[in-house]
Amino acid sequence: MQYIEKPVHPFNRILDHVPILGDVIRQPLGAIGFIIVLAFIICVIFAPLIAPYDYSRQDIPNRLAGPSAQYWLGTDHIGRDIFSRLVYGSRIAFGTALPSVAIALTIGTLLGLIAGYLGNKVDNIIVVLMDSLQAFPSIMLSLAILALLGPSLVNVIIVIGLTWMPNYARVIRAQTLSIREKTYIESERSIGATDGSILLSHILPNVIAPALLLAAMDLPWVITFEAGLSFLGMGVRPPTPSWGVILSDGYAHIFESQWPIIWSGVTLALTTLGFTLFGEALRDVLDPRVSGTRGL
Amino acid sequence: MESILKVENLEIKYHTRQATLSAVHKANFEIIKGQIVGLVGESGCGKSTIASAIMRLLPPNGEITQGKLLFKGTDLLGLSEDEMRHRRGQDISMIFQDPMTSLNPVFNIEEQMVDAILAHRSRNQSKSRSEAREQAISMLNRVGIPDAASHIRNFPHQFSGGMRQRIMIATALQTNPSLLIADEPTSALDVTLEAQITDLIRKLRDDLQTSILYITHDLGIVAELCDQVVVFYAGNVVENGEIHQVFNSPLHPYTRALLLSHPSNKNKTVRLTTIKGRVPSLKDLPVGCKFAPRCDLAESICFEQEPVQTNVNSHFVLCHAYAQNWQGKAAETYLNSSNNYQPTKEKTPQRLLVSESEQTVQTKDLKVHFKDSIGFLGKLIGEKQGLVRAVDGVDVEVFHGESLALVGESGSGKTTLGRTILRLEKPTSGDVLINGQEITHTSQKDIRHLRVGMQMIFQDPISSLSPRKTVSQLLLEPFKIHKIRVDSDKKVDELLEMVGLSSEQADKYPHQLSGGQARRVGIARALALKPSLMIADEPTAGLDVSVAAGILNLMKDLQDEFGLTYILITHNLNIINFIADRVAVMYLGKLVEIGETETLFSHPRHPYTEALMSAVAIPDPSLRDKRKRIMLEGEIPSPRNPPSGCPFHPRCRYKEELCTRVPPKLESFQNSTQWAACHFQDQIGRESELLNH
Repeated sequence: MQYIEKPVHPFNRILDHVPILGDVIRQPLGAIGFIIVLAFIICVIFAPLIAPYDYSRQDIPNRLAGPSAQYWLGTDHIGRDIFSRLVYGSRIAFGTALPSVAIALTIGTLLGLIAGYLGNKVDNIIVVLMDSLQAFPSIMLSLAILALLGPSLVNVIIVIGLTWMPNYARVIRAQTLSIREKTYIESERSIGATDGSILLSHILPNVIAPALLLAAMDLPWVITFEAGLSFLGMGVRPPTPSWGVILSDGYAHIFESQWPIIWSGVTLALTTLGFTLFGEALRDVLDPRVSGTRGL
Repeated sequence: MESILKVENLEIKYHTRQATLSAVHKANFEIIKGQIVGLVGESGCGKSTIASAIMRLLPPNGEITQGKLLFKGTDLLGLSEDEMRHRRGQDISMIFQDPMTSLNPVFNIEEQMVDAILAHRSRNQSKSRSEAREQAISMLNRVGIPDAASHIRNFPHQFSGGMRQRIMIATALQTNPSLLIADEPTSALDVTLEAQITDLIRKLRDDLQTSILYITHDLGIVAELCDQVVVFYAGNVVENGEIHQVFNSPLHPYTRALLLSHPSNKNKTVRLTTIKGRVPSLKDLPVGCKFAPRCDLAESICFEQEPVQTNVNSHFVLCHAYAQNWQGKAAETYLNSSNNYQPTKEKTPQRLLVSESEQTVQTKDLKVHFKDSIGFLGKLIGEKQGLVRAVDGVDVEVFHGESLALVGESGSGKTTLGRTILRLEKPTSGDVLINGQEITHTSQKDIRHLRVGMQMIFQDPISSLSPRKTVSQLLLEPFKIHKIRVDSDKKVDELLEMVGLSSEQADKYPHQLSGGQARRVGIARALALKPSLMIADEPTAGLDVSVAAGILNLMKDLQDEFGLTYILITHNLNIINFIADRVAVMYLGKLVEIGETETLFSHPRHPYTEALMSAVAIPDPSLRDKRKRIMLEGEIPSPRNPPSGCPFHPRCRYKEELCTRVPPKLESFQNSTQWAACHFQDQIGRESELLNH
């Protein structure tokens, strides 16, 4: 039988060369998620080019205006362009959210793996530590640490990373506990594999997927958390535009104009949606049982 | 003869997103009053689909597109949902495979049984709750629940697996249905329990005249139990007839192959017959005869036209070879060749006599005890820490190049013993010697190097392979771990070829393999480093007969080629005779008998061995009335709380006062190689001597 090569769309050919991302984009929902996330990243990088005005430029006569040709999304209580502020705000949002979630994910995963795999005393100690961290309301804990360290962006990142870390440690620990008992782990041990290689090459790939998904869904939460800290004056100082600052400013004037709240809310919701869709597609791609052949 | 259920031209389709799949095609069979009809076939053949269709409980995407289900003359397919609901449980009952999950854990037995009776009250005239309770108790007594009246308020978890299956049967039969559908009711149970349950089913049939549709993949059970057999293959009834006829002169090539691939006592060929290929997936069923691609007789017509049902020797077969214009190999020659059914060759001569060979494994008074975890608080309040004696003082020797089978019911400690020999479990006391070297106290690091020489094949073929690694990564891993340089591609191909897989499999992930393929990959991986000792934990569990036969052949070939020493852990006694040189029988963590396979089967000295051997279902219906089966009462006690004296005494038929006090020692019988731990082994031995001559 003659082998006839099917015509391949040039776009598909490009996707073939991008290892994991290519497969994420191939899924329709993954593609939507990717486009949203990409749009935000473009905002982060090219903020001065995209924003029509400076984020602190005031136009008092037009304060609390609705959307118009001049101000696409309207203005806030001192007449600043909401669109420009949102665009610049993405820098703060991503600049704090990404590194803090990365910190939480890395440390949490490590602790979770160790606790779940070694068990016994080590497990007890780690679990008690995580539980006591979680026992504090996260906002109280953050405020306490920030009060000690002093408010700054770097400190906000560290604080958020620490408060979020127990979630990851728990998820990974629970997964590790169940994977540890699987036959294939014993089978690895029976061919003489070391604990380190069992943990890294057999347990980690099987437990990381839910944590990655959790991370994707946590990003928008962390952004709002940062907004909350900024609102309390422990995060970003005005006039630096943070989505949280925009939201809280808008909240103060909610009966005069709803636009600031609506737009900052929509932005947060879009971020959540984008990262969730992207995260779910990523999870499917990373699991060979769902996606077919490609794994980590 | 009253017909209870008549399945006519039944056609069942599953609608999936991609396609419509034909799950059952033109199925015809009939169940007569009081008969047990066996529905056999490999997994994925549509056996359970038929059962759901009869109950009209197909999943939402299943559809009966054609045919009739005549239940006592009325077509079940024509009934309204309400009328059908009245029949379920009342006229037609069902019991399922897993007794652990088919009883509701939050209701006690009385609630579950009485509710079922009261649900059908309108038909049973008006019945009060207490009458219903009386009825439930009498049914429980009937299925052998001791002192049912005081246990009926117990919850399912308070009963053992075998008891739960009895309760399931009682619940199914209490409304006195005309038809009982049993879907693999014993495949989750031990041989001894299996024998008890099949015996019970037969007794109940005799008493109540219930017709039974017995779905199973085990030909042995069919031969023990059934009156009629329906052989199913890829949604087709390929053969249908009276039990003795089907087993003595099977017509369809598939039936024949199935019977030949069964490793039972009767079938001591050097190699088992295997069926090439595998059961086709419903997605790509072959055109024409569904079995043609795997059939030795197949001619061109088989690949083009669907065969029609032919009546030969008063049983039905679905095969072109019996049509009048058949021009291929004559069906008669094929029928005659059923002489092959007798052993073709004698078993290979025993390898070196055990005593002349060196020991590969030796255990000395090995004990493995597990302590309950009671935690810090438990210790504080002085909770008693339970002790499970999984292995309790075992001395066993395995010699170079032999196969030793470890047998016993689940809970007898055989798997723990195997794992401890490989130091996957740390012994509580005692020693394990591998090739003369003591490994009980060796450091983790040194053990890792020793693992090169000893390997394990794990019970579940697919889940013992790391799910995110490809086959080639899995096969190369042993070399990576032990830092041995190899030519990767060549080595992978070589290993795959050794276990009979093609190199196409190298890039697949475990979940893309079939059970048999995954098992082969597991074996290849274990053999990669050329070990001398291989422990196989239930190597054929979960595999279909024809696939299992291939694995057993392979294991035997590999042993001949590399001089491997095998320890087989199994409760499937059928495979032992085929592959094991010696058998060690375990009960509650103790060795009760050990000896050469042939002797142990023919002259067991320990009453437990005797009962185990006789519980095995043999796929020969002519034996079932001649053979005297020794039924073992009850179930294996908890190793938490073993009986005093001889641990077997509560179930033993030779029990005397002495047994309850003094634990017997493992002693050799008349200085032979057979050792047994029983006070009366001389007597049992003489009896079996008499029986055999």
